[in-house]
Amino acid sequence: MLIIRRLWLIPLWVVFWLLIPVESLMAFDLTGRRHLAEPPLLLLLITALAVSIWILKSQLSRKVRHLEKTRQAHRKSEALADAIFDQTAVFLGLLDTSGRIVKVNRTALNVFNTTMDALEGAYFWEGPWWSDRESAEITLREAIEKVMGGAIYRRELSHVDGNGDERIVDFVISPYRDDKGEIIYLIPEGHDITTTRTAEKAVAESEQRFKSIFENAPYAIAIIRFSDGKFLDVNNAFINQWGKPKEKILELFSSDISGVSQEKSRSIRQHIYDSGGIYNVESQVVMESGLLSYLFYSAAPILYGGEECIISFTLDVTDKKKAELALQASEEKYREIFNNAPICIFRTTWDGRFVEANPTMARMLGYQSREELLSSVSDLARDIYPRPAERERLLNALLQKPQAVSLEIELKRKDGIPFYGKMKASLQMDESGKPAFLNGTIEDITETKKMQEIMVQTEKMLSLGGIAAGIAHEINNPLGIILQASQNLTQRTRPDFNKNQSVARDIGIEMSQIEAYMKARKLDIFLQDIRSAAIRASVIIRHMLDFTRRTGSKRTMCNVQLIVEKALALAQNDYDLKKCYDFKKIQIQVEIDAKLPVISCTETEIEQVLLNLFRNSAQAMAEADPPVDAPRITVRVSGSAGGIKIEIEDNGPGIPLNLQRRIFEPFFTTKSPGIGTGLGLSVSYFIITKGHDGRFSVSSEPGSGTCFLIELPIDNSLEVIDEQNSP
Amino acid sequence: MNRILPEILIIDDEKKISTLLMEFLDDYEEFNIRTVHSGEEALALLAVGPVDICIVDIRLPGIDGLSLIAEAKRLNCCRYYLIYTGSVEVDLSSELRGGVIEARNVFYKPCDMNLILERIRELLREGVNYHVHSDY
Repeated sequence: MLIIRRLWLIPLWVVFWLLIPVESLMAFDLTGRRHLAEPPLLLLLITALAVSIWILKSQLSRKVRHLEKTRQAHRKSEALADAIFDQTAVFLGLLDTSGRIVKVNRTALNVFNTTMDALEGAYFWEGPWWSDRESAEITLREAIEKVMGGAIYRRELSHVDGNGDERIVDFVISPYRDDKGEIIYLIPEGHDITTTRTAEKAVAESEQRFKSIFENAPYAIAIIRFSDGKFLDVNNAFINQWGKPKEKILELFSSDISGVSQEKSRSIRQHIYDSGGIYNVESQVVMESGLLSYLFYSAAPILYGGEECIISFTLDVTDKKKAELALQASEEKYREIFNNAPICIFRTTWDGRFVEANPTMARMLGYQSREELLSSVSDLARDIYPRPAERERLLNALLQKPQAVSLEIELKRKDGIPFYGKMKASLQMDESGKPAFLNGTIEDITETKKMQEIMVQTEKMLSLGGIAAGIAHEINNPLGIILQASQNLTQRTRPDFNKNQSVARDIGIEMSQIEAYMKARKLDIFLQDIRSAAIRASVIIRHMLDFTRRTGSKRTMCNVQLIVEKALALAQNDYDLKKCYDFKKIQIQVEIDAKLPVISCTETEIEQVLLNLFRNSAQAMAEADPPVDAPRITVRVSGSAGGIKIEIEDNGPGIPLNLQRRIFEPFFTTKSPGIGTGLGLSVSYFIITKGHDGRFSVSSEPGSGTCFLIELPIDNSLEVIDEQNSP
Repeated sequence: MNRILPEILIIDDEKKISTLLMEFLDDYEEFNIRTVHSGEEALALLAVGPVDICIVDIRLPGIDGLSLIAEAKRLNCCRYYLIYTGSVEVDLSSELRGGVIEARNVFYKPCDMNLILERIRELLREGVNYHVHSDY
């Protein structure tokens, strides 16, 4: 503008130079100094001068007006610049090219609590905002060098404000150039980003914290993508659990390691999504090591990186599970023992109720099942003892000796039949020391007791046998006299005997008269009675002697089949037997194993035992009421490694339970006097158990039959029995 | 009836037993029967003259029945021996068992005398044949 105005003055200057001599012209210069010129010329000059002055004056006033206007504008701009400079929130300053402070804005002065006076002329690094001036100087000198090279220096720096607090500042130094492009100033500016940075740092720390929790959580955590099950992130516990490096896992899909199909895996993910999560699901997984692991698994849907994902927590509970399984197995084992032990196990309360009892106990007491026993017995003293006093006896014994009591006790079955048990029990006190529970076992010793009784009886018989042998001679002689005398009486009253007839004739009577008299007075019957009584007594003596008599009991290798056949033949031809019943009516069934072990025995004795049993059987069936439909005796002979088993089974009336334990007892008989001596079975028992070291037992179901079992051992140590064993 | 009846000697210390048996057998009038009550008496009698059958009790005062039989056998003064005993403890020593004394020649008291009678008759029938073919 100014230049254009000057151009406008050029024609004036040309006219002027045409009008005045150069020297006069020279009298003028721009500084306005003037020289006096020549008079003719002077007028012209004055005129020209006046015009020029007017022109100049108008020019000048215009210029002044313009200048004034410009200055006002400038001032206004400067004030604005100053205002901006001071009011901006940015820390702003002006440095000369050597780094000395020219100016610092008010914002900075306020924050750093200083004044321009204190700063003017000082190097920028000497400002109070630096915490470490030396390093600040190094940094800044470097920065200035760069900026002088035309670059802009920018860096995040830390300042200390007037309160001593840290200020994080986005720091910039830029060059300020003059019109010619020369760098004349440096402008440092600082944006206070403390708040932003603090917030950012807080976020970072929080993230770090959660990352740390994620990584170090003791549960295996995995994040998988909902769409395909790919692993997106897993923590250390997960890595340890699966024993694969993280990079490897992040290439896999959940179905790759869970051992389930992709389909199944997908449906599980869907389920997690649909149900909003699954919690504490137990599952079995085969680990890469090949070992089976038990996992506790929880999962929930989450958004992760904007994607639908599932976060899962797994806890390896294998050890716990194994302990649990071991415990279970152990429990199982003990339950098996409890349930299957052939001995009765119980736990009862002190006041007489069952807490627990095993099935053996239930069976022994005649109940269908343990459940039936437990539900139907409510008062032990009443329900399982024939007399409440028996339980009282047990309790008293336990009070005396709570740790362990062992006693033989009489118990009662469901059907009321008493039996003997060997009870071992201990007493358990409650916290206050009062008797609370009884724990123990019971063994059914009825059989043992029965055998014991038999043994006692057998022993008695053995000694009785000894005495009997001694007195047999003495008794047999008088019996012989009785029998012979009665026989002589019979013989000498026979009407058909020559000698009788001649003697009678000599006296003068007839034998027929004597016979008639004897019949009329039943003398013949009395004679018969005397005779049978003598024979009966002699049979008893003979059987008693069987307990000791060993003479002739020679052991030989024997053919059991032949013995059985012989005994059967004897039974079928037994005269006494025929009198009462017909053995031929009984169907005999013989089952003998083709191959039997060879045993040694005294044939006549075994024969006697068998005959005895056949006879008993036949008698029982003949007398049965109601009669036996199709009487049958089955003889079964079977071999085993240990010996030979002979079973004699009938379908007769059976033996009442209360008699079963007495049948081996000597002199015990259910037959009418004179029919049986009550010695047959006890002698048989003696022959089998003592004479042959075998076993002899009976099982009978009243109403459906009886089975005698004879077991003869193969290895018979009695083989060298003393043949001359006489008392 | 002039024939010589077979001689039977009953040795039993129980007099009634021997008497009753003698009475029984005597009724049949087939035998000549005597009774003695000890082994010693028997041997004395046998020394005088041999008999066909001795019916011997085992338990005897003095020498017992088995010793008596052994001795009589040695003296060869009796053809047959029957044992008639009240005890069951008869231990037939192997010597006797192997030869003269068979189970069927042993009778236990009390016993049906008909059985003894039958056996005596049996033995004597055998004895007839034996007699014919021997020098006795």
